[in-house]
Amino acid sequence: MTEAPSIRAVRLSKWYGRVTALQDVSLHLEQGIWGLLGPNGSGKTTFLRCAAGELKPSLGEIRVAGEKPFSNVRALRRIGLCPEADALYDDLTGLEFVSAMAELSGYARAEATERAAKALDAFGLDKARERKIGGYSRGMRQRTKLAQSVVHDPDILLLDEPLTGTDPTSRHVILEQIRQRAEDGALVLFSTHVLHEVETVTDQVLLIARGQVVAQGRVHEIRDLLEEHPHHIRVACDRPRDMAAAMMKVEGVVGVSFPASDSVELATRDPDSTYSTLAKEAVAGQFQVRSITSPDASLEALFHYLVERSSRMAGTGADVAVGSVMGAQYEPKLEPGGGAKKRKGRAK
Amino acid sequence: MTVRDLGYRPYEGERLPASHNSSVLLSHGLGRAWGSWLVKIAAFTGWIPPIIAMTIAGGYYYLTQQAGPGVEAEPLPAADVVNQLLWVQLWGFVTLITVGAGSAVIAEDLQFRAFQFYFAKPVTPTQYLLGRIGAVGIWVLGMTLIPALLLVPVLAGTAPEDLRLERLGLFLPAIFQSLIIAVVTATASVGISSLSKSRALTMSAWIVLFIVPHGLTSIIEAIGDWPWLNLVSLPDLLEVVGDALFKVEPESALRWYHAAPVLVALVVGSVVLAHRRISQAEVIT
Repeated sequence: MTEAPSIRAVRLSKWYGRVTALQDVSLHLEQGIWGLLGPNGSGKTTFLRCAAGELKPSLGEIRVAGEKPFSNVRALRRIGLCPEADALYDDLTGLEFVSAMAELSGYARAEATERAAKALDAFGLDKARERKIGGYSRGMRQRTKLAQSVVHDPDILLLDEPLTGTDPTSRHVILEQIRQRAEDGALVLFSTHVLHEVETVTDQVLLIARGQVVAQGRVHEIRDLLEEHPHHIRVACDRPRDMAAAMMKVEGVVGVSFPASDSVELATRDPDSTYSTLAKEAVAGQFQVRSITSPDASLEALFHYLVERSSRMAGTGADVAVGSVMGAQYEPKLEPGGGAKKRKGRAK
Repeated sequence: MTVRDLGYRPYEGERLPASHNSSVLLSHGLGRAWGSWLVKIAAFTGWIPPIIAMTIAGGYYYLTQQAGPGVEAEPLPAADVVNQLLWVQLWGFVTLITVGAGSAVIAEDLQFRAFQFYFAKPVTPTQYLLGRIGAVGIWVLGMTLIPALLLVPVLAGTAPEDLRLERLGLFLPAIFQSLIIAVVTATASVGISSLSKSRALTMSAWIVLFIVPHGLTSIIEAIGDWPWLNLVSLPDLLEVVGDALFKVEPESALRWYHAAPVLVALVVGSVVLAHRRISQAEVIT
């Protein structure tokens, strides 16, 4: 029986000389789309390359569909990797390159060529497949890399910054393909800095910073668990300072700031009560409210918050265990960044 | 739950073994080598020396036939002719192929960071190297073995009857010498190509390695008789081995048993170097 697509890391660490790229990462991803987020140098690419069997863990282990991927033909044939680097031969045509990659995945030449043509077509390169890659635009090159990653129909797709340098049309094609592959049963893990696009295809995210998993799970779940992170409400109105004075009396509001001359941003630990009071104060004080928004609703805010917190906790020991789940009974579940106290509280 | 239950449809056809990847990389490498204009020049002009050699052999045969029964003509030194042809091919065309295809191949992959693609497939660094060296080696063989194999029958056909069988025996040293040239030059040039991401640098390094020691040893040999410097000159080492295989009087005081260990060390060293560089470049441990 073929094992369902999954990625499981247990205390995975990887270092290059004295530089630690991944530290004690434990996680379990199953079928679906996962966004891998993290700042530059956080270990995203290293993690993807460990999962793709290109790197051997320095410590711990990683299993893809139940198998260690390093030098493992069976596992590698189920993995499709789209690397970040623009690593394409300009003197080859798109079809030549992708069919060569298909051949390396074990297909005979005729089958490989047919598959390459289909993969290129799927990414909208049907008219350009006989052209030299040197003449491709950046978006077309990106789509060529993606085509080679899916040419052997992998059920585990690892995409390193697949949206970099793409125009809206290319982005749409790529995201559509990602969705399609996931619907067909694949596990798609893609790293990106274009946070908005993550939210359009998935709410399952994996946040990584300083080589450690800061959080894993659904965006709203993570958000809900970050109790110590005050919720932000931005109110655009005619008298922001008066509004701030009125709202400071409300229980739960822990701070105010003025991001613009016509708006006030409230930081609260009790969003429900604050929203309710805000509506009442707006009526009572006859404020002309133009809009009420929450910057926290975007993944970007969450991301920056978690990364910031990881930096604050670096070296304190509090971050070491983040994302690490030990034991044979390990179940994939939400593991927000935080101290040992929180983890302890949830452990059964 | 099986993968199939989730809607995934795995490929049911035959999947070739991972060892097949060396031949895929080989054919891919042959095609990429053809992309170099130096290789194209070699492929188109590399036939001129064997054609000239065959014309000389035919002409010599014609002239001896015309001379009449009373004149006894000296037979053409066939072994020397084949040996010289390989020497010319080495300097004229093998250099072009190894510069254009061999000494740039890994540098180009390093520059384009292409290992990320290769090693995410079931390809090992050893298979990768075999494919790359093999592709250059085949091009080199095309420039040495095929001309030699064409020339030997012509030399046999134009020889006096009592020498024909002996001349056909030149096939063997021709094959051996061509193989040695192919293995040594392909491996060494590919090894050099792993030293840097800059194609210009690796190509220059290969040219320097190939030409400069030969030039220096020639000058020093002209001044004083000290043959050991030839041990650092790759073409001279190949010449020494070739002289031994074709049993012709060597120009150098070096013998094949001096040259062979150096050539073996060069081949092994180049493979180890390239393998190490590939592994380090992408941290494929």
